[in-house]
Amino acid sequence: MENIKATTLLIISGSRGAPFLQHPVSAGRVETIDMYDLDKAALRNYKALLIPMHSDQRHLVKHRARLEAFLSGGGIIIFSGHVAYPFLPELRPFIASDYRSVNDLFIYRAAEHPIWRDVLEEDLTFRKGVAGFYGRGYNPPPPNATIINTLGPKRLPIDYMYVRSSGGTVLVHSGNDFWNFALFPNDITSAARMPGQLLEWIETDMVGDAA
Amino acid sequence: MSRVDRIAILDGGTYYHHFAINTPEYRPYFDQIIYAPELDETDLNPFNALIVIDRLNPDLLRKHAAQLIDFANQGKTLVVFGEVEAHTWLPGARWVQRPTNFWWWLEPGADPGLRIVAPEHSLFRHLTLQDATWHYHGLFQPPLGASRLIVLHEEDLMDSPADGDRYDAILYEDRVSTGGRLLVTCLDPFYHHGSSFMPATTRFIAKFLEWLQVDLAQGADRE
Repeated sequence: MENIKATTLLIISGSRGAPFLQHPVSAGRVETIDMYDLDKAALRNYKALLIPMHSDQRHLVKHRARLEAFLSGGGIIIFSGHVAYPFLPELRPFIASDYRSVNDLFIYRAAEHPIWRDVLEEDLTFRKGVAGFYGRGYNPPPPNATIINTLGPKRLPIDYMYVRSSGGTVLVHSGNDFWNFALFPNDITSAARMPGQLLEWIETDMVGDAA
Repeated sequence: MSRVDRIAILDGGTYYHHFAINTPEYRPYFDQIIYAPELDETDLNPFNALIVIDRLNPDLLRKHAAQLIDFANQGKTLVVFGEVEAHTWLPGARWVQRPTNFWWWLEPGADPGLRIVAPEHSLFRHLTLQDATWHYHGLFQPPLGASRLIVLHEEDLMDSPADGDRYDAILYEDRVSTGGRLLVTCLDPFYHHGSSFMPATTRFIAKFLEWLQVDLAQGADRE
């Protein structure tokens, strides 16, 4: 495993650790960059950039051109969180779900995707019997997006992926950082497959490669 | 006569900061929203209170600590919310991390252990203990001479050391560490309100802001 070159760059804010970084699944496969050093990062050395919930999106907007250049070179951007400031032109601000009951918080699979392979809908819907951790609203997708998971009876698009016309792949999860999901000790369900399958998908994905 | 209840709040550019600050009920309290990376380009003189919003990147606060402390030293109020590593940049703040129990409320009748220990404080004319109860990520030891307002009461601390040595504060008021007033809490209501998940946090912010504005206005009357 020592020979695997890190393919994934995770943006961090401050010194806070993420369960994902402390977990063996990410060892040697994920490197980090401070949000405010983004302009110094050699993004082309990585296949994927992970943008977490806690990101300063006003700063990302300032670096939109760098993000778009990374995508145009065949890169993958994976965003987990709620959009406030569209740091890619096709993103739209988060719309919170007006949930009234647990039914409104059920997660449904709309399309198969390697990251969610064998991840049960109920393990996304509930954590310790409580619904709502995975997502409570959505970032409206662009028209060409493939919807992967949806929320509630209105099937709101909570997870989706699209390939940009100028190259590059964007995958959006409209909730808290899913690469940390279920990685806490004694909290192992099928949802804990997501972090490892995310990295496998990044390491093998060819979708966004420039033609 | 210039107003004495002018409040500024720091914004870290995250979704939940954006959402919480712009909540229609809260927005009128803020005379200015200051994007934290631009703090050093901002004149803080017009303000009587500055709110350090919770979960702001601690690197930014360490970088701008001198400016924040200088603000307090003008006799003003610096409010510091949780998860900003205050113990690394704020005078007087000592901190111990605690494992967070996100799940205490699943047990019927569970007591998460929070207690108001200064019921005479004017804050509690606005805010109840229930408004402050969701979870906490650690505890403060306030400096000697500061006032604990909300603490965690733990049975196994019955034989606890003297006040000065105890890490138990959820919220404290410190008029000794600077020339002004520090209000320091480990609670992170803006994050949770901004994530639309915990109703107590929504009430906490509303009532805290209501109190802060009244308090600033009345404080000026006394002078």
